[in-house]
Amino acid sequence: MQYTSEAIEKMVEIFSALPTIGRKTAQRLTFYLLREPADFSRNFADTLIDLKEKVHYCSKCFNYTENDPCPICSSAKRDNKIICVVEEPNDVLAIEKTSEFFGYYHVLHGVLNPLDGVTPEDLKVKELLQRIDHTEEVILALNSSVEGEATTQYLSRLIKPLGIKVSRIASGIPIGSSLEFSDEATLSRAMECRIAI
Amino acid sequence: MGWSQKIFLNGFSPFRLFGILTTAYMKIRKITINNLRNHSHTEMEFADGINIISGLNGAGKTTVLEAITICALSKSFLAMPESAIIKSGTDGYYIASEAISDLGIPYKISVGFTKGKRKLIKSSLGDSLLPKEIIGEMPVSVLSPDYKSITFGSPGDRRNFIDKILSQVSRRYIEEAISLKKCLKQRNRILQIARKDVNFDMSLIDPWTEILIKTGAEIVSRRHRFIKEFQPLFEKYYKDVSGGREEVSLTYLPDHISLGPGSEVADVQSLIGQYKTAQGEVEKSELRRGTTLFGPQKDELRIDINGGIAKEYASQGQHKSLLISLKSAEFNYLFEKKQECPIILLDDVFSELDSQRSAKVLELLNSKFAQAFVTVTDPEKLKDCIDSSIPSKYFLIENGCVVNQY
Repeated sequence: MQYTSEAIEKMVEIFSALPTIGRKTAQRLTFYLLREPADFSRNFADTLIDLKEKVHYCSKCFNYTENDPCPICSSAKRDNKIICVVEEPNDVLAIEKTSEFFGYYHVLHGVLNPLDGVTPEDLKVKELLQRIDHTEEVILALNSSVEGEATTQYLSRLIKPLGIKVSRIASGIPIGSSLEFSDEATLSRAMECRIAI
Repeated sequence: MGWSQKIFLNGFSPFRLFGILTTAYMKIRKITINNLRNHSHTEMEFADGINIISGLNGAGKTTVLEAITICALSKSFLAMPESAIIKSGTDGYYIASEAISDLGIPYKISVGFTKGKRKLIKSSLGDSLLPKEIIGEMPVSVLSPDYKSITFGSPGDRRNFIDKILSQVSRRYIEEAISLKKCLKQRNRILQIARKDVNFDMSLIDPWTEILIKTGAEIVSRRHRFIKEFQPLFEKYYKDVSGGREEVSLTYLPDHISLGPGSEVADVQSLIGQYKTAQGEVEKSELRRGTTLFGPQKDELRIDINGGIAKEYASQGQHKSLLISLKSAEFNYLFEKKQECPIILLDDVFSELDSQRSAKVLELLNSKFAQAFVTVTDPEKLKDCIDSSIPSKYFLIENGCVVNQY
């Protein structure tokens, strides 16, 4: 054993299993917890258990929530004619931050990836199709990776025949940045996706 | 001496001063090589003109050129796995170089590789960069006997030749090429699954087909435009090298696509249409074989000499002339497109060439003010041919160490 206590060893193991945390950081976090008063650890542990027990998927949009349906899905102020489809719950946060989108969301929890064995059954695709009866527009806001692109194609092929408008978010120059400093790939894509005024 | 000449000799072109885009010159000043092949720690300072690196076979001359290409292209110009070029007994290599442009703007880059980890690339542009972010920042043109495969080898070798040039010119091309590679992997995987499963939902293949077709069309249209511009340069240099006795031509033959004769630009929409037809034709065989059977990964670049395919017709000497002309054309294409002079790397070229062809290569070295790195076994032969007004430096390498320089 590397450490003087089995409990420390276990804690370090657990921390280093987390994404972006390596062995050294895990050690530092463990020793930090040891130095802090017992209350802190108790609170930390309770919060962890609460997190797993209270938080689950919203039955409509599959974002994380404590109350089902989630605050966004149960809000009466939202426009129920538009659904924005995203990859991960993080993406909902990103779009919500804009305060410019007032429709509902739908979280897929991933994108198609045959190499990793991800099929439509592993994503919330069926659930999306079940809830778009009265929707007028579906916005596909997936990442521009090849896999995200394929998922966008796949979904649009499924949804378009239902007579629902399907759109995707644009890609191009970030606002406020000057043309001169944009990378060539983005710039040439932006040229291609230019809009008439 | 006129004022413009004076400025030019100082390393500035007169047009620069008026703020118009003209050619920029990037010169490598310094390189540090740690644990690459038989070099454990080598530091070298280079001349702005011609750098001649000599030594016996296996002394580590070519490794210096490899280090330069790692800084310019993120990997060695010799197609080898990273783990094979690490000095044995160590965990990884580290290479750092400093270059300066003719405007005095420094460019620093370092590439570190440790077994089992991601390559760490840092440059003046930022930390932790991706290969695609540094390719093209320091354009290079490499001539090595290894490239014989361009005229001798498989279509893949010729696609590689095109891809290497276009990647240095267009960031968009790199992006499309990466997408194509990823998409093919995914599509082949799904075709393999579909082959084994009778109840497979075929609509799952469609999205990947769509991306393959779109990306493929973008790539073909760029390759087509490239060959149109590249062809005259190639013909010009071949005439030069061979003394104008032979007719050569380049023909781009994209898979399942017919490009109208003489068309300068290939319309992406029409390419997409042709690919769609192609896909219909190969659909059944694709499912039977579980792999993609159309697309730019099957393109061919045909090199003709005196009306026959070079691969079959050309003599040894003609192959060498073809290679020199292709590489000279590459140098000039990069020069024109990037308005920046590529760094020339010549790996043991002169031992393979007769005096007439050597003279042609030296002409290239003596013109254009490019910085060049040349490996030779016998530096004395070369000395007399190099214009004495060009700043040059000689390095003698033994066992992975610089033992003498002057």
